[in-house]
Amino acid sequence: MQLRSSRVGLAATIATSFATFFSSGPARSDDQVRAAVTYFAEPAPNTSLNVVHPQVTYQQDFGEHFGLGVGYDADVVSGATPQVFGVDAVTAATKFNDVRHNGTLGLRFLTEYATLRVGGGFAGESDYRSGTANAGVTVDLFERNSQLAVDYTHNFDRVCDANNGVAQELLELRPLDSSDTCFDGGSDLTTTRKLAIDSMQLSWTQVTTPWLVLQFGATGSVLRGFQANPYRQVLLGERAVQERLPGGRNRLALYARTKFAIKPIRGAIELDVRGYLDSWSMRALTTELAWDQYIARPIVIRVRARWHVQDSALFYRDGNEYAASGPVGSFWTGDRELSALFNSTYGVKASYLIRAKEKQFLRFIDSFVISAKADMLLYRSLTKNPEFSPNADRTKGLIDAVVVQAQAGFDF
Amino acid sequence: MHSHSHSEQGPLVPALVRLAMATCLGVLAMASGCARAVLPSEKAFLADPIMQFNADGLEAAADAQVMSNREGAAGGSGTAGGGCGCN
Repeated sequence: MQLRSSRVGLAATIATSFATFFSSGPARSDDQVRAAVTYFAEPAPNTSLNVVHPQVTYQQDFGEHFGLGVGYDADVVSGATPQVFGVDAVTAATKFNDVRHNGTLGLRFLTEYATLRVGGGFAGESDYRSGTANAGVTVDLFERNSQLAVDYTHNFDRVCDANNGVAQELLELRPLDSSDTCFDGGSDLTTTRKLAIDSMQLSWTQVTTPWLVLQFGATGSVLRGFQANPYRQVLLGERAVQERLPGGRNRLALYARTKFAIKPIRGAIELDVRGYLDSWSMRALTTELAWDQYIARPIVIRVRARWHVQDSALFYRDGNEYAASGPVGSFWTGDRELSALFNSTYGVKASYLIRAKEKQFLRFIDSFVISAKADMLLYRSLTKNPEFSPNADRTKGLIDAVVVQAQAGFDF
Repeated sequence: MHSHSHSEQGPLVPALVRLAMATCLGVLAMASGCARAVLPSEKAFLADPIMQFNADGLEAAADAQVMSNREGAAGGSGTAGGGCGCN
């Protein structure tokens, strides 16, 4: 249940993931199997959050013109969260556990200068179901020095919500107490709300010199439907009311990226910049800097830093302001992602590639790859009263959160 | 009722905006000053995995999962591939 906002936010990145999954590396030598486990921890005395995220993918081309990809991932989530935004988080925290499963299937059709991708997926958890359909094309242009990619994704999402049919006014909206009767047509306690998401990404990659590659593009998405966390309540005056967000949201992200090769030392620098705005008056700017370096031929070390700053949504208020003065208009939220904040990430990753020299391993494997990475995430609230911002209890340590990932796989 | 002047961003936003603008200008300058048709024989290092954007699809997807749960922005993380010309 606590991944509610993640489900919505992630949808805008699905087009990217889809393109990533099916277009990395040379077209006719990327038959591969990969498996990874990611552990995310956001420690706090009373409202900690832990997520284990296993992933498996299989990708293979059959003949010259056809490729297949299958993927599975899951989120195993546990932790505690404040029941009401605006009330002391320590005393009001409630524990939760949930598991989300996600499966994807993709096909690709190859020609000499273009790749067409189609696919889809389904994700389910106790209170949220999501179906996706994707289509995209990548075309090589100008002696293969330019690459144009266009990807479109549509989400058919269904969200479990409390049945508030008897509420006479907005201040009577009650939260969802439990997912036990979700998607059960015979229950009067819950109802199903819809969310439709259309996302499109346009990307241009340009080989500029033998040592410089550029990429720039845009991602736009339109969300229509229920986007709030049905469990979350906000204290308005003396009354705790279910979170309420607008039904529509239009989002736009513009980005530019560059890869700069440092051939003499077999290294590469990447610099990414992204600007973002949406119809909820949110603006954000994200910058990332990464360095990949061969230590020895089979070992690559990467270090990276990422900085993200954003403004708050038009209707966001700190908890004490909602409690003292009420909302702005008819929307209210306790979502940290909608508050003004500054996030930074610092990480290191090591990869080890073992290639078969004369004979293939087990007669069909060309290479093995293993990698491990660790990121530390820092958070700083930029609101007027950070002690009354969402999840303030999780942000009192030196390091706000950590991400650790281990991965293994082989190419064949 | 309150106005929308709700963030206390201090010097962070101007500094990041300046960094972003400097980056874009630098990239454009490099691109305009050095651009020419790159021959296939010159692309050997460009085909190396460290020169590919989003070379690790699983890592990119897991990153997106984490960031989408901590930030209000989404999208714009680019597409995979790079300069090998091997679509």
